[in-house]
Amino acid sequence: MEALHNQPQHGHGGEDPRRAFDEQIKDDIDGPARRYIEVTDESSNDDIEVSEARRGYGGEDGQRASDDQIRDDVEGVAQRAIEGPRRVEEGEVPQEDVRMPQRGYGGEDGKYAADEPMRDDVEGAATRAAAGPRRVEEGEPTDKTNETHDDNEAAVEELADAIESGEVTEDEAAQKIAELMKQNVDLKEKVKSLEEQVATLMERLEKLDQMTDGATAEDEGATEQPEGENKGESKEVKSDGSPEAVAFTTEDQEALKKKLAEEDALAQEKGGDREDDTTQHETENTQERPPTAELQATRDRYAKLTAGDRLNYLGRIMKSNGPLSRAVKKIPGVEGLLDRLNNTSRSQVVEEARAEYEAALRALEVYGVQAAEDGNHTLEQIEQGRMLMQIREEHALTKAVHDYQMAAGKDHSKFSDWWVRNNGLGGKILKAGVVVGATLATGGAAGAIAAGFFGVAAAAGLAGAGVGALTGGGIAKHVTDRRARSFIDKERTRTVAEREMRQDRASMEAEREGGSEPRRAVENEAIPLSEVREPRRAIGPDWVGRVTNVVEARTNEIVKNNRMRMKAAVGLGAAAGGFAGAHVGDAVNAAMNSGGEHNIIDNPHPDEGTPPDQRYDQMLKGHEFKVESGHSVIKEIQQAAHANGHDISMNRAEDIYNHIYHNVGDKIIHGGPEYHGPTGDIRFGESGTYAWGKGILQQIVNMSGK
Amino acid sequence: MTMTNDEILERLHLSSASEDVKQETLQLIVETVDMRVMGVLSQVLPQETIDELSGMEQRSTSREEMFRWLVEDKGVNTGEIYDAALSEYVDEMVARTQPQQ
Repeated sequence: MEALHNQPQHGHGGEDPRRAFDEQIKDDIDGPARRYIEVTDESSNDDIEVSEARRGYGGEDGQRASDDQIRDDVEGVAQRAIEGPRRVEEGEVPQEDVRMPQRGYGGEDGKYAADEPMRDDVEGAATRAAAGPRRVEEGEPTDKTNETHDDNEAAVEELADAIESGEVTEDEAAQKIAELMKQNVDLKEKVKSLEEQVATLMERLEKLDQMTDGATAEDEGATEQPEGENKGESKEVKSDGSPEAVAFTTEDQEALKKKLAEEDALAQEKGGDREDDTTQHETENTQERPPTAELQATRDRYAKLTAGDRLNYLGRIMKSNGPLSRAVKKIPGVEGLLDRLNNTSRSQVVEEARAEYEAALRALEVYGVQAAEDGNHTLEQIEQGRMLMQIREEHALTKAVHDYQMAAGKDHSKFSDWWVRNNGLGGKILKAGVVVGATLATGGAAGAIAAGFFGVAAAAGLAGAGVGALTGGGIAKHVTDRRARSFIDKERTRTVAEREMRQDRASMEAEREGGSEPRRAVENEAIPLSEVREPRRAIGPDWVGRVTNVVEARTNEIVKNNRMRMKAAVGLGAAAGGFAGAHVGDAVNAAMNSGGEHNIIDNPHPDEGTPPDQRYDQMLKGHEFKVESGHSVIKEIQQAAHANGHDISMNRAEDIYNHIYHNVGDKIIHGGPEYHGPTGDIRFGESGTYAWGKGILQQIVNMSGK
Repeated sequence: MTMTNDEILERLHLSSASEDVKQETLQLIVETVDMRVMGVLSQVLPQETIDELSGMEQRSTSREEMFRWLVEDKGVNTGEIYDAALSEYVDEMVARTQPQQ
């Protein structure tokens, strides 16, 4: 028995061979498994005190050791897991005194029977295995190791026997005991030191997780690399004559991170809880999906609140005592109005919405930068990508605010209608819902926007996203929709659209005759700025008109040439040195605007006397489209493909429909009621404007191109 | 003073961007600033001014005449306001991407 008593029990104490002085046996999964595998030695059973068999204790022999050590095994643990923890029996006095139940002991009730068997269960064992063996509390008498403990016990017993027999004096015994205690202390300190080292390593690992891959490489010994080399360096990027893209070096990364840190610090100084929000969003950035959904949601909310709050609206646009404020104040009677508004407290709700929106925007920006760092992009390219993203987002927000104002305010709508009809956005008529996939071989572009920055599109699985909502089309579409429908004559026989078409034709002809400027415009759908913006001065000599023409030409080319998925487009664009970012960025914007929830609000105003829509169906062929009741979705798929440069048959359209419907079901469209036709396909339940579901249009175009 | 397109692009650090980026940028700026101006004026102009503009339009007043009236008679210098809006917009975009001390 003594031998057995001193024999270390397998698995007790886990990796840490110590166990508490109170003899509670710490167990772990490994221990039972090991013992089960090794199988007990039958000879040892002879020395085992026979006792009442406890369920699960002692395995099959149902016995336990005389030293109360509870041998357990996998079978026992499993058995108790099935049967549940043993409850304290009626009349049984549970011991809940100093020997506090150890984690996992006693099952749910935390108690153990008076006979001191340690009831354990899988949960307890698993908990301890995960948490690690229980550490001996400071000051708690411990045995250093099972062996040490047993040795110490044996040594103490031997010492006691020796003292009793007179073999050693009390002083010698005391010295021996002191030595034993010192051994315990030394081991304890050693373990504590190891624990501190582990904690330090854990902190470093956490910091590494927050840094980029490049920084991680440094910690991993990348400093051993020769100077000048870094993980980010990549092969040369072939181009069509443009300067080669320089790899995003570690120095660039550090510079960018420093800049972002500075911006965050400044934002914090300006107030708000951006740090917390940004931190949260940055955490979210580690996820695969870019935080575009949150940006959309916060933008929408902020826009809605701003639209209904004059003070916040004006405050957002005009800087106090800035150039715009001063110019506006010159209008008679306005200065007093603005002064009164300035003295009014801003809405806390709107301010909170603004803070949330800015945090979401920041998160997406950080996400994009991190994504760009994986590609072969220079810091300049990434910075340009950031700028373009800000410009696009501001456009989206401004448009959203305008839409809400138009939907809510009659007065605002009245002036806006007048403004559009008589000034407007240069009379541009842009096609909506055009899927941008192919790159434009601009050639020689020295500043290809970091495709990786807009890799949010790739990360989100976007390909060939629709741009109509934003790229030059946002408010333009809405406004030009209205404007196009507006009559220009009392008899209401001629619309603005028709007039503009004639003007375009005339201006193009005039330009061809006398102009030396190379024209890219194919369709005469743009009005030179000078014709529509008078008397206000143009921004630069007719540059808007040229912008219009170029944009229109580009749009037409895209329609004709669109063939490629966004990822391929990005890759080709980068490889060709051409700009792919705009298209990828379009995908970002489309992601921001996807789902249909934030699409252009179809003209909500039943303009008094406005005639039925003119022929602008092509403007709606895209993410949004108009249908008649009973029309087939399959047919709309064919038309959407056609609008984006793919002539597909109805059979092919049906194949595409079946494929998409199989994945998304009724979410393929939204905007109104739908039903299943005789052949089972979805039909539009009523006439009106519908929209493709999130990502559906790009799927249609992608599949059409194959 | 009116900013030229090159000045705008330079201010936004997009001078070295590809032509497509430049054109898209300018396009977005035009629209955004236009919306801002339209929005501001719709918020601050007296209702009678707005009503009068609508009335003039109903009477088939030319666009040039309506703007002349707006600028000269009502003191709404749309050109100056637009330039100011553009300037503030560009400054705002720059500030968003670069920390200002």
